[in-house]
Amino acid sequence: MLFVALELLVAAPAEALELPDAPSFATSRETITTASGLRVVLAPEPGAAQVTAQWLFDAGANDDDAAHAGLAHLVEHLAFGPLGGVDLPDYDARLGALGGSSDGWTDRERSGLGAMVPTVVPGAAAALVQLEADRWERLVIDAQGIEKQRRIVHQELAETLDLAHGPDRAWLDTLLWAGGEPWSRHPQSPPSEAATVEEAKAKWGHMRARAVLVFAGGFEIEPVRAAVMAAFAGEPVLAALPRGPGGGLGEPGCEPGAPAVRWRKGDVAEGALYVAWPVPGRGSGDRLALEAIARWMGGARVSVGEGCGELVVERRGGWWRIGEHAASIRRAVTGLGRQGIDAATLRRLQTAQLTDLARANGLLDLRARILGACALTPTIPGCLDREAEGWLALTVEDTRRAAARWLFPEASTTLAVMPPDTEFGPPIPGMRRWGGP
Amino acid sequence: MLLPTLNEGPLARVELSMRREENAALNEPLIGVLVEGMGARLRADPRVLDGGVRVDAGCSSARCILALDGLASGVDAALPALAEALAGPAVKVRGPTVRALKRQWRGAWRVPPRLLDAGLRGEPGAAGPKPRFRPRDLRAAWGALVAPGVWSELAAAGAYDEAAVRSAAIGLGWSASVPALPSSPSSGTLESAPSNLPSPALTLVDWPGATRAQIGLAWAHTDADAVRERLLAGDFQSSLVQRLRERDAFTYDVTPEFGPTWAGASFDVATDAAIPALTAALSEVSHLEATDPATIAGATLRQQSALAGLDDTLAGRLALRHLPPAPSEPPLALAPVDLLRVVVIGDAELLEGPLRASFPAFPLTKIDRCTLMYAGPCPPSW
Repeated sequence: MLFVALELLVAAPAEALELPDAPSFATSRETITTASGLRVVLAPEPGAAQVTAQWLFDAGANDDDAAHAGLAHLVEHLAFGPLGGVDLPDYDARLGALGGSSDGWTDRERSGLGAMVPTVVPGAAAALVQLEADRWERLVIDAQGIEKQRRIVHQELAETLDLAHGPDRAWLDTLLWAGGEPWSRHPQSPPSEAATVEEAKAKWGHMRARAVLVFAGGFEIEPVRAAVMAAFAGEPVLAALPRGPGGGLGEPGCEPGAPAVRWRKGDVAEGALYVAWPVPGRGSGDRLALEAIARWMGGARVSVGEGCGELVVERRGGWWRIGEHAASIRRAVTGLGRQGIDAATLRRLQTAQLTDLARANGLLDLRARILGACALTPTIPGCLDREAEGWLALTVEDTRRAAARWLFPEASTTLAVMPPDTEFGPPIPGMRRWGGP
Repeated sequence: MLLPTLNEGPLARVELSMRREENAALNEPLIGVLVEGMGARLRADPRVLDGGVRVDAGCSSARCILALDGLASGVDAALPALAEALAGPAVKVRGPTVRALKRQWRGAWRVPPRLLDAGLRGEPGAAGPKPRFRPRDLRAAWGALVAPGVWSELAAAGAYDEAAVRSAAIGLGWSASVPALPSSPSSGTLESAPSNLPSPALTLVDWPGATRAQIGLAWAHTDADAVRERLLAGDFQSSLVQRLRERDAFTYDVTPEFGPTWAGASFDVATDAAIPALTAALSEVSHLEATDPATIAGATLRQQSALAGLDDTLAGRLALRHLPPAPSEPPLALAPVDLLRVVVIGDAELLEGPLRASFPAFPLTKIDRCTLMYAGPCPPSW
């Protein structure tokens, strides 16, 4: 796994660098509410070669209770099934006939469905509106579909776990979060054998009640607005199921496990080290600083939900280097807690982040998903213009404060993965100081 | 060759593209070291770091690229770094990069996608003996592959500074004129294949103790067959996905595969599903000619849509130059599939007998992983 060497980023010129001007992310858009209560964002782009429909649901794997783990993911799979009747073409078949392609994803607190059709198809936009309205109103969820998709999801999970380091993140989540907490479960957990048709329908209703739909790309706004208002004129959406607990880090739903160091042997050729911290959720003032820190460290990722999240640093390499990696990470976070990221390196990270935002905004489906995310949480940074402003406003002190608050070594959870024939002793100095064996 | 393409937006991309397919004689690990090494060197350059520029460096079977991608101001400022990296006599690859790439080469026999690629290419031992990465070898490879000439081109897209890119290109020896290039492999005609095609070669790559099997198919391919490939494995509506995933739940995904003159598909199944999954896949391939016109039309539209989508990114826009255009109308007929190779990676103790029994007409070769990659057994130290 490639990662940016910390030494290269730290050895930066002393003089301050000018930040580039933030690219403009303004997108012409209009938000309407249909008779059924659905919010729809229309973002036409004259001349675009495709039209996309992107659903964003403010619901995900963490909404499943322990007895029904995997249900949200299963329902995402079911959302491409028959429309209106078991013997009628399913969603994907109708989309394919339009020359379209589809996608779906389930994350911990959000999920989504997407479709893209070429504008070369006559009436592409209108056809896509009708197709999504049919899925909204007439999706068929039955026992046959549940059984088929359950088998497919099992294959999906089996392929993931069959990878050399496939099981590592699932192990880490069970260590990082207290038992029973939704964060301790893998988002793609195998769907429960106990899930019934009624439960799957209720989950679909719950997702529909927390949905935003975005149409973006090559279409004229007037006819599409009219088509949306006509197509989504059905019964009002039922109220959503109560949201699970998760007020904030440390509260029920976001309760971390006790910091720990664990080892496991896996069918791997080399070693791996994961160091993770529980961190606050989307609305925290430290979120962007934590993302900057993850970017600075390389091989690290921050995932946040409404109340909490996690920052995970990953290192791969020969198992004999695990102690070296652990010591390096300890030095890094300790230094960050004292001094933060130095100014010149922070400027480089800010420029790289602006570039990535501009790149994401250049893709039609990602641009539409961002508009949907903005519609779901308009008061919380997540829209590109506010995101860019936040990144540009980051200071060295912000990074120091975030590291000191959340990323001190004693608060971390560590998992070391070693090849099967490796001896675990003698203790590796870097790990022992963190409480390892 | 310099092909500027301008568009609106804050991003820019400058890309060195190096064609490989006609240079098969070049030692593969050496090319990887060269391109990866030049990429690593660029990533560490302060002019690249300051601009937040991403460096893309890597090779496929057809092409290697080395590119700067980012905000236009950053790419323009990083151009001198690219020019220095391309200055042949100064080509240097750092020791840590060489050591990392040697480890990757040594570990490739444990990586299923690398094994599948070697098997589908039909070149056992193509990874070759332990490569030598001496500076003079790298300079010779640079001279053959990277230097301005028939096999390489420099192109730019986005809001870059045209004068700066032209100046850097001309300084390195590229001209702005368009030389004659060797023509692409000719498009195939839609003739029926002879009925006495030989059975495909079946390679069983032994992975003792594996609980799952990776299966790959490779067939002959020309540019005219793009719609056929999309129908078979190119997207969710393809026949292999619909059969192996949606109907039979053997697998989660079918991955399309491509080489210079072949196309194919691969998928991952439980070991006890390997024989029925392979049987189902071969059935779909052999029934391709029965595809109805509406399904062909849908696949043609999806091919058009996929190529239109590439235009959304600067990297895609530059890649489009190397791809055949989508047909404006659905093909009237599909060329039958000339299946060249079938590769199965899994526990031979469980699979060899059933494979021989189920596919007696396919000449079966059993091979171990290291012999497939390196034309010899793995050293004990591995």
